[in-house]
Amino acid sequence: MMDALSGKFSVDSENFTSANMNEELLEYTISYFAMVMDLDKLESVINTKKNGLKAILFYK
Amino acid sequence: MRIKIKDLKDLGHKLFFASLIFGYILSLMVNWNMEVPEDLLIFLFEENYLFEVLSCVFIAVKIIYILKKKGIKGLTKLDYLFIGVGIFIIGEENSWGFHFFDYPLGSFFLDNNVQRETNIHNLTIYKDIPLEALMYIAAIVFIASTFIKKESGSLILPSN
Repeated sequence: MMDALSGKFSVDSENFTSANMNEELLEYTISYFAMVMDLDKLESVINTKKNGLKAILFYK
Repeated sequence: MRIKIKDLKDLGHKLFFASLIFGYILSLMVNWNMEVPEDLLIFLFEENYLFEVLSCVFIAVKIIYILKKKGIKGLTKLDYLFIGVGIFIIGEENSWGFHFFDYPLGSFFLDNNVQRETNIHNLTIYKDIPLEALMYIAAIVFIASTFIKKESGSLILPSN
């Protein structure tokens, strides 16, 4: 964590909370889905339905 | 024996998924007040430590994979969008080099950034709530949408 006043980088274990953990875990989950997502498949669905986000969310 | 790209890809997905599950198990253990070594938690979850670095690495790997597979000329609009957003996320995660180069922080970021770093996703939108909260909601809605099934299998996730 960067201390803006001292400008030093350090691990502040006293301020490390489960909130930090949950945030990182959420980012990691999003990265996972970005990694495994099949972009070609997504694009074909979007092209087929021509309705962008609506196609992604409500395609059946 | 020749290693196939597809095998490496599958191995990467499995390792990524396994580490994700491991992270969630640790998270449950912490939330249930079970004893977990603090050093391990910091090593995995603190800013700029393993999970954050791996998030950026995996996005970078995916971008390189797309570029190698299709070449610049074969990219679709969605590929360009993914690459653009991916580079943006990688930049945001290390605060556009602020974590490494320690350049002076402008007064705007000192006043308006929750973590006092040069990034957009931690800008305050209301009290101490950062902009990333909205991004997370959008991402969760998008991820949830990938679970919608059709006859031929999952909508977005690979069928194998």
